Amino acid sequence: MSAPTALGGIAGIALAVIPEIGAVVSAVKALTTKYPSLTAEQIQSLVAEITNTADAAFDDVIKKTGGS
Amino acid sequence: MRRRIFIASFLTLLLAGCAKNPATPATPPQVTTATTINVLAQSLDAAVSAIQAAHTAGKISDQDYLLANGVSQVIAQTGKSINAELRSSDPWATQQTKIVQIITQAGVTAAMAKLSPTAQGILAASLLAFNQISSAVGGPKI
Repeated sequence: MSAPTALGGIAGIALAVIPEIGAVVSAVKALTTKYPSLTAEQIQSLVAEITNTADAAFDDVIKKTGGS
Repeated sequence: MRRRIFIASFLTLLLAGCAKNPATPATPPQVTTATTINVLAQSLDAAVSAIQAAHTAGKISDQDYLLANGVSQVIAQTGKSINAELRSSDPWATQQTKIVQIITQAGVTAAMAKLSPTAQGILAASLLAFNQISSAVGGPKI
């Protein structure tokens, strides 16, 4: 049995037996969605930022070595 | 009542334990490659300064100095080409293919082979980063 399936089963039993567990289950669900995946736009923006920094260093290399 | 508290405590600890290691999404390959390119850029910039210092101190010959500068320029231009591709709107699979082509056509291996061991040693960190980039996109080892 996979971890999410086991967790879902345990949570189901817990909710049926003890209503107070509902808040705990909600908190656990919130934890699992704490690190959402980056969107395509966010990836593009991040890549642009990093590569621009790198390009500045490459330009410095070209300048120091007498290139154009 | 005590039984309910016991069960609640047990389940809370169990659920909290399960949640301690939420699956963190993998870093997108474009971001990993861009970060490695930046490592390459910074290390190359430092290496060029070190080569200049070694030349001034007479530790590398004029010829070796010129060759090392040439290799550094090739790596810098290659890095800029890879960066331009990473910023393009191509999907990652296309970017990978194009980056491998850029690396293969750069001729860094042949250029590095002409350098003295001293100059190669100074550029070693840059070569390592360059190989990491090539490896990340499924390219050849330089």
